Amino acid sequence: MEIEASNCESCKRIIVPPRDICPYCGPNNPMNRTTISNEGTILTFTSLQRPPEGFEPPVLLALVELKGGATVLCLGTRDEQSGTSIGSSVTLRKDSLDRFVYHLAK
Amino acid sequence: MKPVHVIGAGMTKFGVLEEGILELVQSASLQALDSSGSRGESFDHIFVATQNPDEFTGVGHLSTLTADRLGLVPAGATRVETGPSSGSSAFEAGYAMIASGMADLVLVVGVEKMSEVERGTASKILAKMMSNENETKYGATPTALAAMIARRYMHEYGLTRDELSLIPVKAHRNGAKNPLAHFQKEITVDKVSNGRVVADPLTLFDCCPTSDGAAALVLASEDKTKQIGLADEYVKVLGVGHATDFHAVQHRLSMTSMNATVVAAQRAFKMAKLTPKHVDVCELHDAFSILELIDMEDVGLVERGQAIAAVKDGVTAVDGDLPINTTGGLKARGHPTGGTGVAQIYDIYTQLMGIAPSALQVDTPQIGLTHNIGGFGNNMVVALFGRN
Ligand SMILES: [Zn+2]
Repeated sequence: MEIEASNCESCKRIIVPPRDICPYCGPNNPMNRTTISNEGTILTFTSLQRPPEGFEPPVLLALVELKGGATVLCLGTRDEQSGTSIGSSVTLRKDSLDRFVYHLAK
Repeated sequence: MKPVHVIGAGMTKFGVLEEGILELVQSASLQALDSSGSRGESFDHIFVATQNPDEFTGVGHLSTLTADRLGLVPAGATRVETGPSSGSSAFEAGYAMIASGMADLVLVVGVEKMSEVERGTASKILAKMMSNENETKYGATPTALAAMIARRYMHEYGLTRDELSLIPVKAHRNGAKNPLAHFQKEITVDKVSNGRVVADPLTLFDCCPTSDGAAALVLASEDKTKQIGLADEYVKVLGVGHATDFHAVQHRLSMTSMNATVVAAQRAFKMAKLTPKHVDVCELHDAFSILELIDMEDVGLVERGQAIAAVKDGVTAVDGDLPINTTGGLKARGHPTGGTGVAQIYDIYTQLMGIAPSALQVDTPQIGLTHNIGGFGNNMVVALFGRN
């Protein structure tokens, strides 16, 4: 799976999800649509025991730095609970609610 | 810009209170009026800071409502909202109005009444300050984001769980001596570290409560201060800085620093022509224990990664060289969101005037600093105050 992103011509940063205006450079800089790899590394994570209504605890959350450069918040599944650590290599997919879900690389 | 003085301040108790939102506004405001001798004066403007009274209490339009309730019509009145930094933003607006010469006497009041709704509903209301697309949709909460920041900070700087617990322990030690604090009971490192986990590595005791409460300030120009007859019973505003960061945590450039604090602090220090070395007493936004350490570093009070060493050495205790959150901070004083920024200034005002609770009074501080976070780390105000 490739991840939809945008690429700022001015600062070269990759933004996920894609945007029309670069949040770093402002409205006077062209943004182009692109896609990046779904492979990345866990920067940090938590297991949320008291999530909001509509979520079953624990909710595993991680900030993943993608190889393409952007960082995205992801959900983890129960299977990922024990093996997750800072620096873990992961691949992302999207769930039915259009959220990123990470899986530990084999 | 013209000089601006804080000539009076008032604050209700923070906690789960009987009083309704307007009673809290009135109580804090009248105290501020009385402490400045400005009852009977004609106010040019009122700024009311509140994050979301419409949903927490069903009461809206707090600007005119406050003017009317306090008998201050036809003063101009404006409601200010920047999330939990609303209080400081309202103060900033009041400051600017006097500094520019548009006004001579301004009332700033910050309030939130959060206990009328269930905890789950309160969380849902507060979650609106986060990015829905990148955070809320995933089930993330402010605590979850703070937990991820804490884990990353531990990874980068070797902070331990028991070291982090020293922050809430200090907050409660100070809160226990503050009659206005939400929590007035001491806690131990063991209780914090082994408390119920909310989002690992953070436990319940790393997180501030939601509170009811209000605080108020009277700001005046030099001329007005003299006209009211105050010789030297006031505190000078020396600098104010305000900055934003990217809305979602994932778009920020660091996981262990909040750039809005860095920029806001630089602006405030530049305006005041001071450096972090000049600060004698601070109120920092410790909604979560980890934030107090990051705030210390971002404001420039200590080097990166060195905050916990200062805490362990007692530097940030009431009797240390750089007392931080002497009245308990958000953790123990409590956090009625729109009220917090004004309460921080109330606390610095009392410190610089020498009228803080005696067990919490710092020895003749000259310069005080407040730091208030809005959103989850994306709308910060830093202000500097000087003893007269
Ligand atoms: Zn850019």
